[in-house]
Amino acid sequence: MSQTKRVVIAAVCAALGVVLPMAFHALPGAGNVWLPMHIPVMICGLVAGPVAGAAAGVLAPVLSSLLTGMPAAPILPSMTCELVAYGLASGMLAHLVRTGRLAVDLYVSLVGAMIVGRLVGGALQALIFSQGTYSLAAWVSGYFVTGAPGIVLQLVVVVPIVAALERAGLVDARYPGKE
Amino acid sequence: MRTFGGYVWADSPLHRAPAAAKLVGLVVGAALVLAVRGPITLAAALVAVAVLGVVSRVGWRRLLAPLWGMRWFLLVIVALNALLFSVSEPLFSLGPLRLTLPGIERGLLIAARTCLIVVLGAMLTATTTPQQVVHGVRELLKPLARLGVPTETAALAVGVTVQFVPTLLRESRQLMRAQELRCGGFAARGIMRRAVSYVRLLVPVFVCAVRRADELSRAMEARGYRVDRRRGATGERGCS
Amino acid sequence: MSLSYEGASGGRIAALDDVSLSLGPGVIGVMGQTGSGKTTLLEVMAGALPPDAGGMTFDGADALRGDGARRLRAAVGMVSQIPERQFFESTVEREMAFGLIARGMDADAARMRASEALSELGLNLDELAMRSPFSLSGGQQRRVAIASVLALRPKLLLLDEPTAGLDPRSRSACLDAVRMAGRSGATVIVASHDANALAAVADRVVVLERGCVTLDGSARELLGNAPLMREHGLEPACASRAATALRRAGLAVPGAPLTAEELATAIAEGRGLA
Repeated sequence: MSQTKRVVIAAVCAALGVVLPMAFHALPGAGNVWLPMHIPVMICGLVAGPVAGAAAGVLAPVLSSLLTGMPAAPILPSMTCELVAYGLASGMLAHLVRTGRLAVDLYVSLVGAMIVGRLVGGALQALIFSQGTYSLAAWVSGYFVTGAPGIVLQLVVVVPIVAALERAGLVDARYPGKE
Repeated sequence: MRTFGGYVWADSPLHRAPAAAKLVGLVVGAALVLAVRGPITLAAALVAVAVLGVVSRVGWRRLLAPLWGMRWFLLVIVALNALLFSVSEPLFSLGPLRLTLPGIERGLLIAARTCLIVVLGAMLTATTTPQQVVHGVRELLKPLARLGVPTETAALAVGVTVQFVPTLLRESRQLMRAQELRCGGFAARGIMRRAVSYVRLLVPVFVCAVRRADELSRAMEARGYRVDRRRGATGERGCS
Repeated sequence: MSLSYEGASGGRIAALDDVSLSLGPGVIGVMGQTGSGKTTLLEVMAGALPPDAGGMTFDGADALRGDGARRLRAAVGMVSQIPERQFFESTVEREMAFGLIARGMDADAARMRASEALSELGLNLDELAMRSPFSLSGGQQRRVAIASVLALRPKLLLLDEPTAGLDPRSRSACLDAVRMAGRSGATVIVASHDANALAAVADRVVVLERGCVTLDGSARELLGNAPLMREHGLEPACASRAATALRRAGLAVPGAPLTAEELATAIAEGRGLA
């Protein structure tokens, strides 16, 4: 995939990161629960590489905050760091994990990226962003309990999306020749 | 359909100020607010933000609306601090939770600082159009070019993102209506079912968006654009 | 009925202004320039967009509320613009079955209906069933998308620019399918600015301009009248443009031919050769 295309895909995924919370917020479940901004960033990393994923991870929350006010300024720094971690991790894992089957590659990369992202996010929260009031309990409940539907959504949605993109010839097939 | 991005049409010194200055101002303002520690400095900050709000001519409803949307979050902040911050002289205790006066004070302080920053942010979005934001970001990135940061690429990425947001938003909404017609609504019950019903929205949206990305990048390459060799907007580009 | 929306800089714009239509079985074409309200009209008819003012009845019952609305939803099939954008399944078979199963059909019946509908559009389900819809050509994708709606056998079939951007073979396959649907007793509404496409399939044509109905008559009266079309800012059907030009040059062309075949027949008649 050419560099130009990687940059443009990062920008488009960032745009989706801004749009998805808005477009589908009429459906029940707030952004915190369904995590719509994480999906484009992950997909970007998975199909366009870690740098593109990290770029989308920066562009999406910052531009979303500047253009729409969501996420609110106080949450922005920690969310940005977390999303950059997601983008980087999903890209790197996608590059490293080659099991021979697309779906398996994607699930492993996705779960790995989610774990890394949450560890990074949790560490940053504890050390920098909300010292003192933060605790393991808050971390677990914040990320895993309220974020559970979002986790499920990502697991359900990412494989069909990447598969469709490959079939449409829009991204390079991981295992060309396999239908 | 509200004006996109929450921009409010009006004329004020804030509207007319350059976007780069506003962006820097937001960061500086947020830093100052975070330095507030006691009631006096808090009052000063409140007054300053209120004055800015009046100057912006945007209307209090627009500036305070995000706070209403965040009300539960603010409540959680106050509650967590009130119950967990301190252990001295609890007014009430239940297990590890101790309701203390210093805790309540701290909770209110943090909540107040959060509100102020949010209002400042709302002022920025209400007085700056997306195009102005892009321009401002570009201006701010320029000095970094000397450090080898790929600012042209970054500026391009920011521009493309902003350009695509209204298009993708419109298409996503159209798609949602079309899919609803095809199969009935998305109000399924149960997390798994809900997630699956999102597939029929997200797959087409992503395919469409990446297709546009593909077309755009091909068009750019056809006109000689290369990520590494660009040297500013008017630099010569080699066509290989 | 009427419907308006908020414009980009404030103020309300009428998408549909006091539109009143009575539609029965057959193919009705809706013509109009971009922005004239064609898509909005279709969406209102599909029950997707409630009008600001006015009423709608379907099969004699109020179609905006309660039971009547539910019956409309069950009987309507809409093909949006560039319908292949809605694809999301991993195989053509699943994509076709999606709408059918959502409406309560069982898998075998769905497969049969899908197969029938695809063959009406010149495609073979057995060949395509296991392929990804994203790997098909543009024309095939469009035909699959239209077939997936036809498979519902809707009593009210709405198509928004079904032939836009299609290769000639896919285009004639789509028009054939539309014609067949109209003959089978359904009410088929085709919104298009392609006069030639409508000339091939429509019995009746309605023209929308800025949300108002400005013309309403048989396809032959309207599409065959090149000066009238031009007056309303619409491009007439190729055959009727040719007929007008030939008449101006002194050749007798009786009737109002809409297609190349009809034009040829008319010219032959005019010269006493038919």
